[in-house]
Amino acid sequence: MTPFLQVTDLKVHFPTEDGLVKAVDGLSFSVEKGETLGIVGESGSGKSVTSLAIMGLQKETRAQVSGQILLDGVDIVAASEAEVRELRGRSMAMIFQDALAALHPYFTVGSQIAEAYRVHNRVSKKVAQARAIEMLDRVGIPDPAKRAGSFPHQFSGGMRQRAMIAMALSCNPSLLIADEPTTALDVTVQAQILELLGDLQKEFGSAIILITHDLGVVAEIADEILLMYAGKAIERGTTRDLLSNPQHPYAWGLLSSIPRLEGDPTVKLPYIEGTPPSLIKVPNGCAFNPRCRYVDRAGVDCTAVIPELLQIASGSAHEVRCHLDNAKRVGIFNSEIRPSL
Amino acid sequence: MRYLIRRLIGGGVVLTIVSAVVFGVFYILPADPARLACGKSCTPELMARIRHTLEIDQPLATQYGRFVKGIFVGRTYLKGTTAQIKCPSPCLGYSYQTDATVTSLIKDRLPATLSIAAGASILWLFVGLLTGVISALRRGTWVDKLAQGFALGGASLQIYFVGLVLQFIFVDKLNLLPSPGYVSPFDDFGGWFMQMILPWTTLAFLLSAIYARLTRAGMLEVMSEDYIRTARAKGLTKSRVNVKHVLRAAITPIVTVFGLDLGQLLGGAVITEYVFNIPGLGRLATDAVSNVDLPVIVGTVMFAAFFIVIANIVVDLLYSVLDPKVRLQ
Repeated sequence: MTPFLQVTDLKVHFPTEDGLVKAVDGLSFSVEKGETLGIVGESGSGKSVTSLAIMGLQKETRAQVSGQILLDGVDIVAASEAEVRELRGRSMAMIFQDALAALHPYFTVGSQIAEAYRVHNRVSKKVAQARAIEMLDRVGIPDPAKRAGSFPHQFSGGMRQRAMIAMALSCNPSLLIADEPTTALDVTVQAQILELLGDLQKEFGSAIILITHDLGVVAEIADEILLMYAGKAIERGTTRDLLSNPQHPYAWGLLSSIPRLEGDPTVKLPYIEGTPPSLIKVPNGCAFNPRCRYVDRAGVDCTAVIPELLQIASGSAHEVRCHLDNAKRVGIFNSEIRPSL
Repeated sequence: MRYLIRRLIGGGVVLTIVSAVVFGVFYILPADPARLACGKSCTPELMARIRHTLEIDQPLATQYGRFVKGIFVGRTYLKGTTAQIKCPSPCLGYSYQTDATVTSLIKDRLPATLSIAAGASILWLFVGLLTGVISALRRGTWVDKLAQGFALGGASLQIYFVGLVLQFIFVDKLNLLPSPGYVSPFDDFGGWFMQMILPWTTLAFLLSAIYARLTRAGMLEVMSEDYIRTARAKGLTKSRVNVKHVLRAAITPIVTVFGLDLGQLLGGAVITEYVFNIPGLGRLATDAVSNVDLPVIVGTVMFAAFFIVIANIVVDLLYSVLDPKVRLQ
C-alpha cells in the first residue's frame, strides 16, 4: 500500500541569470495520516520550496519541478493547475511562517476563514461565517464571534497564528503543512501553538509536515525527522533515533550547538564553521564537505562523488548520506560527540 | 467626528492663508485697476472717485477684511456715486469689468468644468484601471508591452497636442463630431455629449496612462505579498485571487491619487478648456488674468483651493474606510 503522501525524487530548479538554482535536488520521503514529519534544515536548504511544491504553488511560475508527489494517489507534479487547486485547502492546507504577512490586511479574520471554507463547500455566507467562528473557538480564541470581525493587525502574534491554523483546518485537510509556524512567537506561545497542532492532529487524524530550523520544536511533536542540506536529504529517521543517535556530521554540529542548562556558561558554544553553500554552485561530491571536520577521516575523496542516502543497518528506518562508513561514524560519535551532548 | 471637525478647521486655516496670499500678491501688482477703469480722458478727480468706488484707497488689511466678511455675510459694492450692488453671501467679490458678482460668474462657468471633470474622470479611471490590471496579469507579454507603450505615450504627450490632433481628425476630416464648445446638458443632452467626447477622451488618454502605470505597479507589488500566496493556498481560482485579493489591496493608493486629481480638475482644466473652447472655470481664471480683473482672479483661485482642500479631506476619510489599519485619531 502506498503511503498517504509519497514524494519521490523531487527536484525544484529555478533558472536565474546567474545560473540554475537547485533549491531541491532529488528529495524523497513519505508521510502517513496521523503522522508528523519534521523537515529540518537551515535557511536555503530547500525546506520551504519543498512545501510549496507539494501545494503545487510553483505551477505557472518559472520554477522547474520534476519527480513525483503522490497525494492520496494524485500526482501533484503532473496534475493541472485546476486539479491541484481542487486539492488545495480541501485535501492539503498550509500554515505560513509570518501570520501577519500571510493574512490579508484588508479583510476580517472571520471572512478570510469563511472564504477558505466556501471555496470547497457550497454553503451560504452565513453558514461559512458560523463555521469560521466555530473554527476560531476550536483553536482557542476567546469570544470568537466578536473576534471574527477583527482585522489581522488587531490580533496578537499568537492569535494570528491560531487564526491561520483555523483557516487551514476549516476544510478538514488530510495533510497540513506548517512552515515555521512558531518562528515569530515567544516561547510560551510557541508551546501553546505546538500543543494545539498536536491536539488538532489527534482530532482530525491529518498528516502534518512541520518545517523548521528549530530542533526543539521537532523534538516536541515530530514522529520522524528529515534533515536537509543544500536541497538534499542528508539524514532521516525517527525523532528518537535522530536526536539520540545522530549519524551525519552536520547533525552532530547542529546538536552540539544547542546550549544546555547544565553546560558551563564560560565555554564558548560550538558552531558549524562556514556558510551554507550557494545553490547555483553546489560543492562537488558531498555538499557538506567544505564545512565538515571529518573529511580526512572518510578514507575516500569526499569531493568526488555524492554519497547515497543509505540505511545505517539493513532494515533500519534510519538513513544517512555520508562517506564515513558506519564503524567510523559510531567511533567518532561515541568518543567525540556524545560526551558533549 | 472629532477628526472631521479638526480637518475642517485645518482646511479653513489653509483657505485663509491662500486667500491672504492671493489677495496680497494680486493687489500689489503694478497694474492699477483704477488706471485701467479710468480710460483715456482721465482726470485726477475721476481717478480719485474710481479709487474710492473700487475701495483701493483703503489699506490692504481693510480690503481683505471686507472680502472675508463678504464671503460669510455678503456685502454691497458702490457703483458710480450712488447706485449700490448687492453681493449676497458667499460673496467672492464684484467684477466691475464684466459687471457681475464673482460668485455668479463662477456659478455660470461651473457646469462646463463639472461636465469635463465628471466624464473624463470616469473614463480615465475605467481605462487606466483596466489597462493596468491587464498588463499586470499579462506581465512581459506583447499585451503588457503595448499597454506600457500607450502609458508612456500618454504620459509624455500634452493636451494641446493630442487635443488638436483629435480635433483635426474627428471634426475637420471625418466630420464625426461637432466643432467643440459647450451647451448645457439640460438644453441639449445629445449635443452636450457629442461636444464633450473629445475633451473627455483627451484628458482621459493622458491621465489613464498614469493610472495604468500606477495600477500595474501596485498589482505587481501586491502579487508578491505573502497573503496572496495564502489566498492561492486556500484553493481560490486565479481570477478570484486577482480580482478580490490583489485588486482590493492595490486600489487603495489609487483612490487617493484619484481624489486629489479630481479635486484639482474641479478647480478648472485650463488647457483643455482652451483647446476645446469650453467656457469653464479655467477659462474664467485665465481670462481674468489677461484682463487684470483682480476680483475674479482672487475668486477663482479661492474656489480652486477650496476644491483641493475638500478633496484632501474626502480622500483621507475614504482612506480610513478602505484601509482598516488607518485610524482617524
